[in-house]
Amino acid sequence: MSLETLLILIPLFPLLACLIVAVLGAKVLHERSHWPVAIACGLSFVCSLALMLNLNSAPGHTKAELLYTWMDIPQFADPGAMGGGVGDAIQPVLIQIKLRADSLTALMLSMVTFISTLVVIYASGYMHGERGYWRFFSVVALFVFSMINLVLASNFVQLFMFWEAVGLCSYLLIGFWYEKPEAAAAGMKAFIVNRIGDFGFALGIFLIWVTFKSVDFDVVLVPSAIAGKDPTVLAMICFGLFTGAVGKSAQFPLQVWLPDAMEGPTPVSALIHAATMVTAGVYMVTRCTLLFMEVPDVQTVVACVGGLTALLAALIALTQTDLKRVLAYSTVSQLGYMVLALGAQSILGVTGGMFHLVTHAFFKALLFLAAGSVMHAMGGIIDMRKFGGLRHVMPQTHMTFLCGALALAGLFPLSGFWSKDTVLSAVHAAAYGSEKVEHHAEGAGHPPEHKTEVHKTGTETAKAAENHEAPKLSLTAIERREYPVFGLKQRTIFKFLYWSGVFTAFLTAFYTSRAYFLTFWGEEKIPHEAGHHAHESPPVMTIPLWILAGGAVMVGMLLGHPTGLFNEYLGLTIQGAAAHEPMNWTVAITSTILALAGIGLGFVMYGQPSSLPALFGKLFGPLTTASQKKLYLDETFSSLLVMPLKALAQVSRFLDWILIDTLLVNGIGSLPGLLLGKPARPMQNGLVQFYALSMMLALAVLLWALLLRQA
Amino acid sequence: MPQVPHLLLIMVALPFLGSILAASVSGLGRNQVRTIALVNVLLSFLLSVIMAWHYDPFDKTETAKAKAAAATAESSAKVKAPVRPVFKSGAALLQMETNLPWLGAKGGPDIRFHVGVDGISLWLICLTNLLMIPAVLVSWNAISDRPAAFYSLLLLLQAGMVGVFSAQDLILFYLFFEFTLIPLFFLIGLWGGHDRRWAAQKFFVYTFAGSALTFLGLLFIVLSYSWMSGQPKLVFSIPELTTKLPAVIAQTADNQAYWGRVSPWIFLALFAGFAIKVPLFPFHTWLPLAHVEAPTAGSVLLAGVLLKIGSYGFLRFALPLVPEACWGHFHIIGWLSTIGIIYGALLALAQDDIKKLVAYSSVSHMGLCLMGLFSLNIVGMTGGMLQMINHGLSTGALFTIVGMLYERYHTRDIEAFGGLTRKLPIMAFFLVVTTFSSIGLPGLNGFPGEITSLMGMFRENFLFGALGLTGIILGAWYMLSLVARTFFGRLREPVIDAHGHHAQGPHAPEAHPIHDLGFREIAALTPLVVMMVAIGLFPQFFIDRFDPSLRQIAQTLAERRNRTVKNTAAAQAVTPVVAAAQTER
Repeated sequence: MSLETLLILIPLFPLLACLIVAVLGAKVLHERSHWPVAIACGLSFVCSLALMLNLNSAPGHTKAELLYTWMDIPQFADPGAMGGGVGDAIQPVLIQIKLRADSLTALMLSMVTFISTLVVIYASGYMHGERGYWRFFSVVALFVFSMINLVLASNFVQLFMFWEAVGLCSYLLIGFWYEKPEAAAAGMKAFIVNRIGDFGFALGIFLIWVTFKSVDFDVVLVPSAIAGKDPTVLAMICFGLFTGAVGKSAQFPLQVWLPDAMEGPTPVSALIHAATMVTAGVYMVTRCTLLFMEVPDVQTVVACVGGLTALLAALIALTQTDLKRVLAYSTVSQLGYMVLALGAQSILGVTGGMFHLVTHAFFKALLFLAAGSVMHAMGGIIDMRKFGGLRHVMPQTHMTFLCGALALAGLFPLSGFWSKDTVLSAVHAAAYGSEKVEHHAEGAGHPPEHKTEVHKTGTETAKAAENHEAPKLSLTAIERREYPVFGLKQRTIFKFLYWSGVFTAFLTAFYTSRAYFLTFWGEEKIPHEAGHHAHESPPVMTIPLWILAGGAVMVGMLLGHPTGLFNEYLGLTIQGAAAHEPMNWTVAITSTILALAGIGLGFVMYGQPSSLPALFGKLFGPLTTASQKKLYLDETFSSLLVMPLKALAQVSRFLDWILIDTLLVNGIGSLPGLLLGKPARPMQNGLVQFYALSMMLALAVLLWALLLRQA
Repeated sequence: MPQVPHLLLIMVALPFLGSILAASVSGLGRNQVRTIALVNVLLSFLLSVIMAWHYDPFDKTETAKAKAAAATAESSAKVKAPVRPVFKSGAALLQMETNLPWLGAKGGPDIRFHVGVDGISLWLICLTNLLMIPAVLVSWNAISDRPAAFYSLLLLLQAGMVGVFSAQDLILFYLFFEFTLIPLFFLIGLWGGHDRRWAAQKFFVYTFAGSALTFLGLLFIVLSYSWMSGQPKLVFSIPELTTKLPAVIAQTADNQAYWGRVSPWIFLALFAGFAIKVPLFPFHTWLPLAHVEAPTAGSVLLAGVLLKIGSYGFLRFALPLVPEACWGHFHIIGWLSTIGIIYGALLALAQDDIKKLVAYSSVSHMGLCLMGLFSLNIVGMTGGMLQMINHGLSTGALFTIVGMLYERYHTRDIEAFGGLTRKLPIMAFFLVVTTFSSIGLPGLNGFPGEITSLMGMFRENFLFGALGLTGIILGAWYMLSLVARTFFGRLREPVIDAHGHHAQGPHAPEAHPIHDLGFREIAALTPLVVMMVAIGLFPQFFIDRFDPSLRQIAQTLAERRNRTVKNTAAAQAVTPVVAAAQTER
């Protein structure tokens, strides 16, 4: 099959499934509504794999297929006709719906379709017997379609369209149980908070359009287009785009929507709010690597936002009692890691961020689905205080959850270890990397794999290797500019970020093991909602769990540092990514020790009867409360933004009534009546004609006066 | 599809005749009258489909040439470039005309019955005829009082609206413009809510006062044209004025100076009527009142079509005829529309009445429309044009749905509802689609209009563009709140007593059961939703039809801006020399 056909088929299958289920679901398919969706996702996955493997054959490792022109407002055919200088006042708008795949896209596609296939299979068991079963699968198919198109987008507006479309699916699925007020509120919150991010995103796109006169990736995201553009404008563009990513990827301060989104069905949390949609922000920033590399200041902001998010969310996750909330905050925290890596001023950081995205998709989807399995068995109860010791009741869920938890904790050699290590190495390089640029003399003659045993700071190597292709690509970011940002040296900032990242790794290990021990260890405790038949979930749910568990264990080893496959493949798109970095043992050992310490502390506190939790609670009294109250972030957000706007709305309503309507409009409207000596007479129909007449007369007089003056 | 001669004349005449039929034949029952109205409306819609089908802005021969050229280039260079169609220009864009002598003697003012369709009117006429379908269908059972008069007025209103958009003669335009006021005045005043008389009166006085000013402005243009060109015969033809006025102004320095002096006044006169009609902040206060009191059909047409007459007026008269003054008032209108967007959205957020909420959202959306038009470049104007159609569709659908809800529960208080999806899933579906259309979700119609309006304005002025963009956040907020409060959450519905009144007591027996949308109601909403999706997915089809007409105005604006800039620069260059010469003397 040709690449064009594959490109079209990948989104087509879920679209067809969505339409089939939407039309036939309620009347014909009923409880079979998952079939079209599962088959479509599976077929899309096969096609994505084929695309990934065959992309090499396309020139430039990129393939684009134009579907149709969505909007085309051309420039004036002949600007000269209007006299010089006007032509530049109008610039063309050309927005095409074009499917475009490169290696970054292919990676995302394979990941998205693989996870969706498993989640759909799992959901056919989990959602069994729900009202609106078909509605669920129809929207899930719509989501898969939108997400596929998001990564296949060839220009910023197309990206934005599907960016919003996945937001819509998220809204509809969070609010799937629309009768639950919390679910309805959470869906709305997710959409609106995302819109705040989209506001920045749209501004960024407008600026790109004004600056580059195009929004197409192939025009904007090339070194020659970026070269020579005003750095301030570029910084504003990147800042705008990043705002969009902050919304979608739930970074501080817009992270408030993601934990609430857990009101949706658990498969949705796994698919949309852990593995795929929330990573769209990370994907978008990665897509714009070339732009971001030009503006190290914005990158520093990116890193700070990511680091802060990772830390804050991990702190909150420590004390949550709702298993899904722990995982939700953990997702926010891990997304923070990815963003931190993206801001680490190097291509190593970008690949690290992307790699963490992929491994995280596996183990976090697994953890959510396992949590869903627990919830399924517990009759919808997800509060960890109400159940415990489930490892004998649900052995398979227990084992798979353990795999996911260890991967999340970053234990060697599970996948989380490799990706987290790359992230921290990138930050470490930004903080402690050597200044020296070792130009690689013999680089030109060797194939890329051999050019890599160079010292430190990844992208120099990359630059040396890719020198002939990308003249000024990556280096600007690596020049360790010791300029002050808010009175701090940039390097100092990254030292802070590195250590906070390391500390977060410890916290991650701790809260993960806490959740694990509370759920599966200790005395067997089953809530009465579960009834008498609390049991392991059916195979349709456990088999996807095992497959994901395999991924969570193996992906890191197979694609990560030991083989370098991931970086090599990503290097087809992101120049310099293919560079094979040596292992940073300092980082690896530090994070492993901390992970073990975290798990150990978790075991001591929660793996056995212990008075330590109570003791810690007393010891860190206010801190524990703050953590339980989610660091008051929701309240802050509400009182800084929501309340003032609502108050403003009420003030406007009052002003509109008193000032504009009553005083100005009615006041002026009643003047003629007053002047004519009938002040008490209410406005009546008879007056209408009179008004019109007097208005006309007055104006005729005015007009006449003007004409006279003219003459 | 068959060609229909004098299509626009028929399209204006048909509802007019239907109206007379409904009103004059005595003894017609409700059933007959509403059937007459429905047949009439469907026929009109069919005619507008024929019109859209035959309206042809493309220059076929030139396009074929361009394609052939591209084909040869392609075969030689192996590059595949999409070929853009070549458009007609000038008078060729005005099609399906009917031009009859009407008023005025030989040698006197030549007032003609001249109707025709160009790119700007095309979709607005289609929109009018499309929205008439839900307008008739929602009134089907809701109107039992004097149905003959009601449908007669409704059809009269349709004739007026189609006339406004197709008139190519100033007097004819103004006649239709005023003509739309009278039927709506009675529709609100006779079939409205409790406060209907006050609402009808305020609506009438306010918009009539504005339109009187506008009429003076238009007359002033006609007179000025006659004086400047030196020909005593008054010209009322809109195409002639639009094309020839610039040349006449450029003829002599006197004319230029004169036009420079009067054009701001003309602009203000036009502005008075159109800004009230749109309505632009701060002239909007008549709108919520009129909407709340109007019967559903009135609201649908008021928001869907009548507001567009304001923006259409700006586009048809202010932009091409007084472009310098438009540039001169760029910042004022920019600010007013920006404030309108934000202020309207905030007010919508504070409402408890669904109709009021939708009414204020109209203020916000029409602010966005004017922001697009007054970016004064082709991108923003395209957005403004799209926004006119989009707002008509989404707000028309919203009012229709609110009307259906009101018909069931006899209240529009948001607090009285909750979790209605359980009872009314089909209505919930339509409401959610319309909501997302209204807040500009990509794939539906709102998005292309919003993004191009804002891009156009952003190109001219970063601040207005950025502030206008906040509308997308606030818009999502108030609309999704509305959906969440009424259709999600636990089921809560107002209690209806046996007489169909909204009962106060919590335990009043539920007399008649509430049904979900029936066939008639689905038929009323479906065409709107189909159009929302069509415009959202294929906006270029719609843009192509109005682009050439719009482009002529954009070109005038660009030229005139250039001249203004040049003149100012020249004046600044000259002034010191003149000053020096004066001091020497």
